[in-house]
Amino acid sequence: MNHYSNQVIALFLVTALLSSLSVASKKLPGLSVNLEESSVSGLSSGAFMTSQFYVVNSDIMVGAGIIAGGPYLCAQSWVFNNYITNATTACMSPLSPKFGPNTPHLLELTRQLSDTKKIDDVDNLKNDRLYIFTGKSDKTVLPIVVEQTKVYFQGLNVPDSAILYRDDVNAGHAIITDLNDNTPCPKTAAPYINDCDFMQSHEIMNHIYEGLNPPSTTLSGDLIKFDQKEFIDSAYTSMSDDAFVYVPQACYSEPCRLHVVFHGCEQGAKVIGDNYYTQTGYNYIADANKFAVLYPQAEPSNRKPFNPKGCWDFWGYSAPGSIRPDYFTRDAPQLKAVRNMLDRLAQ
Amino acid sequence: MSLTPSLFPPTFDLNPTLTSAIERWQTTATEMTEDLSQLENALNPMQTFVQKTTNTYDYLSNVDWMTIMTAAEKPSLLREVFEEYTDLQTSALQRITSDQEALIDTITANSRSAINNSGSLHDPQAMCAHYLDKSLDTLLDIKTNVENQMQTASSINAAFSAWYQQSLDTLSKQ
Repeated sequence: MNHYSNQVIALFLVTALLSSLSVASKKLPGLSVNLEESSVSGLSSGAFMTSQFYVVNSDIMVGAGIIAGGPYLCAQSWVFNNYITNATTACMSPLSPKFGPNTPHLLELTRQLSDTKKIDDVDNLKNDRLYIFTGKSDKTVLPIVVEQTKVYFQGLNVPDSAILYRDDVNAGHAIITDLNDNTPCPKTAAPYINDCDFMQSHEIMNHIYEGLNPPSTTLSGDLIKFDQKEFIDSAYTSMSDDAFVYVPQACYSEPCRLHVVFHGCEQGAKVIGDNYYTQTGYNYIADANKFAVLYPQAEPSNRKPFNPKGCWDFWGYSAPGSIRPDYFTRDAPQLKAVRNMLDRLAQ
Repeated sequence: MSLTPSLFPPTFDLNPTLTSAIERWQTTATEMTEDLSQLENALNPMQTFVQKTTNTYDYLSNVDWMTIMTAAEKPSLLREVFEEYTDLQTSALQRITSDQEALIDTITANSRSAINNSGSLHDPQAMCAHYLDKSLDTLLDIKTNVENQMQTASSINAAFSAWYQQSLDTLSKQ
C-alpha cells in the first residue's frame, strides 16, 4: 500500500511540474536597452495610446508613428460630453471639423499636466520626429481627426520639417504592408492589416531615425512571449497575461534601442494570433538596426472593464467607477504597466 | 398493399443547404444575444450622469457670465453663433440623408438579389434555404445601416454639446 501510494504521489508531482512548465511564460529579460532613444507607434486605439505614451514619457522618446489616431487627451475635448462620447464621436467621426478634437483646449490641458509634473516636460517634444498617417478611405477615424493630431503636435512646437504627414494613400482603417495576402488597400476589415504596396513600419522607423540600414531578409533573434501580468497592478487594465518582444541577436551582447508597438482594437494576440507582431514588418527593420521591439497586448473584456473589442484605453475604462478616470498620466494603469516593461528591458 | 399504418413515420433527408441556412440563423441569433448582454454591461447611466454633471459644473462655474451677457447684445457675435448652429444643422441633415440613402440602397440591393437568384430553384427545401439565407443577409446589412445611423445620432448629439461650449467660449472672450 505504501509503495502504491508513493507511486501515486510521485505521478501527481511530475504531472503538476510538467503542467506548470507548459503554461508559464518567460520573464521579460533585462537587456540593458538604451531607453534614451526610444520610440513608439500604433494603429487606431493603439495610435491614441501611442500619443499618450509618447507625450507622458517624452523624456526618453525621440519620435512616434501615429496611424489613424487622434491627439493626446482627445476624449476630454468637449466638457458637456462624457469621455466615451467624445472618444467615439469627436475623436473618430465628428459631424464636421469644428466638432472634432478641441485642440486648443487639449494643448492647454497638456501644458497644465506638464507644469504639475503629471507627465514629462513637453519641451522635450520640440526635437523629436513624428510620422502621422490617415487613409483617404478611412471611415472609422476620419482624416479630419488625424489632421488635428498634426495641429496638436505643431502646437507643442514640433517643427513642420520633423513631421511626415501622409494623407495621400487610398487606404482604409489599417496598418499598411506590402504583403499580397493582406486585405486590399481601400477596405476596412479585420485584421486591419492592408496591402498598399509599402511597409509602413519601415517608413515610420526610417522617418524617426536617420540613417537606418535596410531591413533584414531573415531574422537573427528571438521572438519572446513573456509574462505581462508581472507589470500590471490593476485588475481593470484589460491587458493580456502575456505579451511579446522581439530581440535581435546583437541585443544580447550590446545595448540596443527600443521601439514600442501598440496594436489596434481587435488586433491583440487573443484575437488575431501572431499577425500583428510578426507580419507588420517591424522585426525585420529592428533586426538590421539593433532595436528591440516591444508588443504590449490588450484583450477583449465583456465585464469590468467593459472593453469588448480589446482596445487600448483612451477614454477611461481602466478606472471604472471613477468620475475623472486617470488613463492619461504616468500613474494610469496601462501606461504605468508598459513603462514598467521598458524599465525591465533597460536593466 | 397493407392498410395498417406503419410503425415508423416516413423519413426524408434535409437538404444540406437548408441545414446550413438554419445553422447560420442559430449562430447569428446567439451572437446577437451576446451583443445585447455586452451592451447591458456597458450601460452605466449613473457614472455617465455624474461625470457629465461634474465636468459641466466645473466649466460653467468658471465662465465669465458678465462678459457673455454683454457680448450677447452684439448682433455680429450672435450672428456668428447662430450661423455655426445653422452649419451644424446642415451637416446633421446631410449625414442623416446619406444614411437613409444607404439604407434604401441596402434594402433594394438585397431584394433584387433575393428575387434574381430564386428563379432557378425548384426544390422546396432549396427555396426555403435561399429565403433564409437572403433574409439573414438583409437583416445583417440593415443592422449595419442602423448602427451607422446610431453613430450619426451620437455624433450629432455630441456636436450640439460642442457647439454650446464653443459659443460660450466665443462670447466670453469678447
